[in-house]
Amino acid sequence: MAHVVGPEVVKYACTCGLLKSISSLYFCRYCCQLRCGFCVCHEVDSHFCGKCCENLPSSEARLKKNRCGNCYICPSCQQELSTRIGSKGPSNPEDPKSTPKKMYYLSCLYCRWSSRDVGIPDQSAATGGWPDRENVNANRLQEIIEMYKAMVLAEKQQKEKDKKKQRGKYLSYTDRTGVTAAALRKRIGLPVDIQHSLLKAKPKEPEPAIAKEDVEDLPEELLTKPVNLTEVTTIEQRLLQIDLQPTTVEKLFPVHKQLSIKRSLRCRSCEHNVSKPEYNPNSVKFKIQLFAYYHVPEIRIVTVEPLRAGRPSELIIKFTNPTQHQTTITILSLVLSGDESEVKEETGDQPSLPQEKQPPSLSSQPSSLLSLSSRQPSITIKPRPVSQEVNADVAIPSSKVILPPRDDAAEYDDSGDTHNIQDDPKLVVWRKSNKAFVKLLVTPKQGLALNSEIVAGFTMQHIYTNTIATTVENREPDKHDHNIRVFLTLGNLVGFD
Amino acid sequence: MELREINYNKNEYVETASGNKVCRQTVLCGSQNIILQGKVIVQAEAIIRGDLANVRTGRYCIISKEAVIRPPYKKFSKGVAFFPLTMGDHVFVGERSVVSAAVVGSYVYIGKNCVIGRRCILKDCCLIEDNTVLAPETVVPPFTRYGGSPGTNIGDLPECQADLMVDFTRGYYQHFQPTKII
Repeated sequence: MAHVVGPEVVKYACTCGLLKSISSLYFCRYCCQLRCGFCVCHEVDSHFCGKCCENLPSSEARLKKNRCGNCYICPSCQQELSTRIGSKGPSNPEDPKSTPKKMYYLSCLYCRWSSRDVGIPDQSAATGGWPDRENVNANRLQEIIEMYKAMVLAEKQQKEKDKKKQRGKYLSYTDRTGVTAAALRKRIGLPVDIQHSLLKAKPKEPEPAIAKEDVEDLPEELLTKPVNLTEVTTIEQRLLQIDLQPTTVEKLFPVHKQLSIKRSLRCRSCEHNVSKPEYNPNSVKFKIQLFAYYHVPEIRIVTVEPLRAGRPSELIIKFTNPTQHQTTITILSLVLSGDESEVKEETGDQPSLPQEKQPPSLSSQPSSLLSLSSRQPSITIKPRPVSQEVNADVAIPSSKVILPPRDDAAEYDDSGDTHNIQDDPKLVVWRKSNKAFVKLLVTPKQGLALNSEIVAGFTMQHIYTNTIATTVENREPDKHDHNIRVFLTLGNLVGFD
Repeated sequence: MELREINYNKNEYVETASGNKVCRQTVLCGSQNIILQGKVIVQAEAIIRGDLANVRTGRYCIISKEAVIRPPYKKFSKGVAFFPLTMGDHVFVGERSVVSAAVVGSYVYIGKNCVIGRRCILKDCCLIEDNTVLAPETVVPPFTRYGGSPGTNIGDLPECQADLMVDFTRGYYQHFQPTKII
């Protein structure tokens, strides 16, 4: 029951050296490596509002400072505000028989704050009518921003000019004869350099800020008057509205709700997408989903005997094969050093997968991605040594475990397993369709303190069948061994031998 | 961790043709308005108020002990009206939680002792931690983890959450076996 929420006891080592559980890992099919959240590039795919679940185009999002236009947050408890229908006065005060007009006000259903508390008048429109407070310093800030933008533009153009001057190997034809355009202009009397039209209008420099020395006196009331805490805002409430930072509760104004994003992930070394969500904010499906959960066998701890230092304890773990191809699992001893990417290929037709982080060769890419191959791979990550200490030894079994492919229809079919796999009965304790229970012996090391956490590790080697579209001549999908280091947190030491 | 066998007393539970396992000690008001799609487990002392409005659950839902599924209401000038409560597939409702949401999506995990405020909308693939109180009418977007009181966004969920919930609820259903009398 502890799988969805619970301690992460089984961790896989990503290629960068960090330990993550299988649900947080991705598997890049092109590099055939595990990737974690840090080894992938996160890119913003779309913006949407969490409350109205509507997409916003990214330009509009930037304009509205990544906030939704319709939804508001209660300034007092930061929950969502809902629009309520308020008093219904007659629309035409002269005529008492006219239909009552609906007036709306904002109200928080958690802390009972409402827009009437701060004096915002009720609106007649259900959405979009709420006044936005103007920033007092808006004009000044705009002037300063424009000045800086002009400075940046001027610098950029200066750089370009310098580059052009340096690059000018080929002088104009008229230069040899001595009649250049510049010389002509000088003769006539016009200025030598033609100013670029954009540079002509020099931005108006804003008035420099004047330092003031006189500050208003400390009001004596601060020292004498007792503080009414119900009127004072908390720091969190104050910082929600940075431009005003009200100190009293009467000045709290509703704030627009921040937008959420959907992000797509891209492997840093081969620049292929690893995860791409759908555009619709309500949908939980993915256009591209290369999660480790679907490609790498999952390991779960079933039972573990109480651990004693120096004495071997039985550990039963469950392997699940999530792929559509049969795989064989070999358990090898753990290698803690950094570089463990040993990817051996069984068929020699495919071009060798890049071991170092170089841009992949053009022939191995589908044509739609050719334009991306000219892109520089982003920051390459050097594999780090895993920093997890292993204080228990795992007895490495000599035989392998074969896991049949995943069969979704098997749960409706009660005819039973037809796989007939010969198993070492000491290794494989139980088997059903694509799952198997494997028994291992774990011996915690000597000299450990009581109640210390025991971590065991091993390398799991499984045969990964690559399902990327192969070329026409080669129908066989290539299989190769893939090594993953696994770390299991087995609990606390109970006693000594 | 792998699930352990969860045994129940065979006499206490009724198993229907579509695989629903409902305990006899539950309080199911208005059972003609309650639709359990299939392979749903309703454990002891749960309360489902079908008398107020329709309650519909999807497949492989699990309603733990002492949970309350109560349709939400809305106050009008002329009185109070109850709205139907729909739950998607593969939803887990923890022990002693009170769910008054208007819509609960699929693949949702609701922890223990939660209070889901009335007319909340829980979208697919979200997770409500234990002991959360969600304010009325909150909308929980997909792939978010809500917690605390009032419930606020405290984290994200992995992208394969849908499959994790499917595995979890299926595994729970498979392990929910009657105690074998030897």
